[in-house]
Amino acid sequence: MQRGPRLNIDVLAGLLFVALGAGFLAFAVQLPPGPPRRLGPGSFPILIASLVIAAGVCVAVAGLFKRDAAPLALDWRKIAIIGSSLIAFAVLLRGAGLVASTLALVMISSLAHPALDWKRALALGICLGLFSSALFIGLLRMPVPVVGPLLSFKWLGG
Amino acid sequence: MDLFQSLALGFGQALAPANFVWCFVGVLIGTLVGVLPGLGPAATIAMLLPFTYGLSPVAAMIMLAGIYYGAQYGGSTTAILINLPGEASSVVTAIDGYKMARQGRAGTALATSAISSFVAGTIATILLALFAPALAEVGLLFGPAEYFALMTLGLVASILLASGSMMKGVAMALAGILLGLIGQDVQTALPRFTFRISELEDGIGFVVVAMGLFGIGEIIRDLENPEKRIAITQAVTGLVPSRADLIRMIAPTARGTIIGSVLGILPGGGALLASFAAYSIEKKIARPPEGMGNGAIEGVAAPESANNAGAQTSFVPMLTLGIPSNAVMALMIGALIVQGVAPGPTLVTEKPEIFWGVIASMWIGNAMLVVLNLPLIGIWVRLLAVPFAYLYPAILLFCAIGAFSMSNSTFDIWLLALFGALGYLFAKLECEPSPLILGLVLGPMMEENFRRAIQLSKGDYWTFLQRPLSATLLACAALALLVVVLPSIRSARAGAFTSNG
Repeated sequence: MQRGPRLNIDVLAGLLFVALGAGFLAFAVQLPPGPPRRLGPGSFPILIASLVIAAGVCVAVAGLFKRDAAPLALDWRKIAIIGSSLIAFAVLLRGAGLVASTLALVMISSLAHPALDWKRALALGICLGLFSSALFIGLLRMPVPVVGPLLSFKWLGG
Repeated sequence: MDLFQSLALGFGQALAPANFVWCFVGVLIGTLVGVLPGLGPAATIAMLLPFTYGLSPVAAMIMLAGIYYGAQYGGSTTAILINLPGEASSVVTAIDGYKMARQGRAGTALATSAISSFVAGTIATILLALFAPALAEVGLLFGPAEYFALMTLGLVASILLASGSMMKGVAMALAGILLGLIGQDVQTALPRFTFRISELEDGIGFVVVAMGLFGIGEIIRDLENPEKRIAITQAVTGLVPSRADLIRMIAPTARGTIIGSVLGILPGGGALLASFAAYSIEKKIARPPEGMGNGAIEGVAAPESANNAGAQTSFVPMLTLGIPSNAVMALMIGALIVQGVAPGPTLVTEKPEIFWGVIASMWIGNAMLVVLNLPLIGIWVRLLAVPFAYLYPAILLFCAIGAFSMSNSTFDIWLLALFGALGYLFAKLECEPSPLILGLVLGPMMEENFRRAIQLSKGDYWTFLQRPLSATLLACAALALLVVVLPSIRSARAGAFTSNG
């Protein structure tokens, strides 16, 4: 019988948990553990991080012996598009205001869907920008500008 | 306070104009997200939670609760009309409901779903009012060791209910606890795992994590195979069921209500398990058995009443013990804590207006849903035609705004992007996110109770097993884990998730 790929999703999931647990453990051991009668800030994290590592090892080892587990196939392009659309929104929000940052979010994220060409994305972005400005800034008093100082600067300066 | 006084107080709260309006807003949004595939109640509640800070605690809880049970209703509508369950808990409704729609009985199926849900909601509300205060009294007997044991049991239960590998569920729950430890230590104010980032000192907001894992991660996954065209063929007619249909509904609705109410109260229970259990029981006792699966009205009435009853009674462990039974309840606890209200045994006596107000609002909300869902069905159906291409940028935007509004900080949007990518990765690794969210919410409480218990016992770790109540709860948790490892039950559980999902 043919074996599945070595690094199948179960092995990778296990390794991810081991890495997470080990990362936390490395910092947890530097925290004061406190006397045994009165546990300090370090003891509970050490316990849980060790358990995460143990659980991760179990998942990974079980995955090594599994024949039908699938390999990992990630769509990196879509992760990058959606991630950067959110980060662009975060970066622009205070400086450029809600309308411009919404437009950036919609335009960038539209790259992930074939049915959204740039014209439709532009229209959708403007509509959503105006709608969310009215709802979140107008009605719910979110403390960000509709049009930020970065964009109005040249008008004020000129 | 006797029961009638309490209910009067509750209805007084729920019928107050402001709360009434928020209840309506809640069930409306709930139905909407239930109808729209790809956006579940957990992500929606996470998204809207920051905007409830300005409301009174009662109004906030009433609205968030409305979203939860409203989504159950909306989910069944799409399950029946287009065989696309909007919510996991209406997966089994699709089996017979969609068959009924294909036979031209869509109206009857929708009416059955609405009526049986309403009946179940009414009965579950009464049960809640009767039993919740008693449970709260039991809660008063709890010390730190018992709380720790109970939370362990709740986490184990959430692992059992998550689909996929058990061991991954355990690892996810533990990873959630670990992430929950980020921030200042409660007892010594020492910052832990913050890497000198001041935004991390208050900890990672579970709302951001929930939005990332459930909302953003799901969007990236849906984008992998975009545009599955949805066609709704026939107009919906015959919304008034015949007398014969009504009589056929009675027994399955009663059974579904009982199953749903019981399973909803158990930690880790809730609407999902309830609807699966109710459907399989109907299947066992159906006469003739061939009818089930081919458009039997019983196959709609039983799971619909069960998921609605389960959704309502799952509020009991949350409000009376402070223990969430699923990810949505974990978010509700978060909402209460933000409002400065500690859920737990004292909530019923100290904040009766919240407790009884929410319970009464559920009955009113259920009545609103019948009114919303039956005559307005045409509008919901038309909403299904909104293409995903226009929907996902809007969901992204609302998640980003929601994350920002938690503490008016763009740092949370960065976190949202990070957990969105992680959510997609977890989905690809077949790791269910619910245990992680529950661990994240329970983590700090578990640590506090663990440390207090050790302190009270002067460093004796056996205290968890020496106190009878705590030992019993931990034994239940251990037993539950063991039982699932047994092969026969494991295969049955796999069957329940794959054959219908």
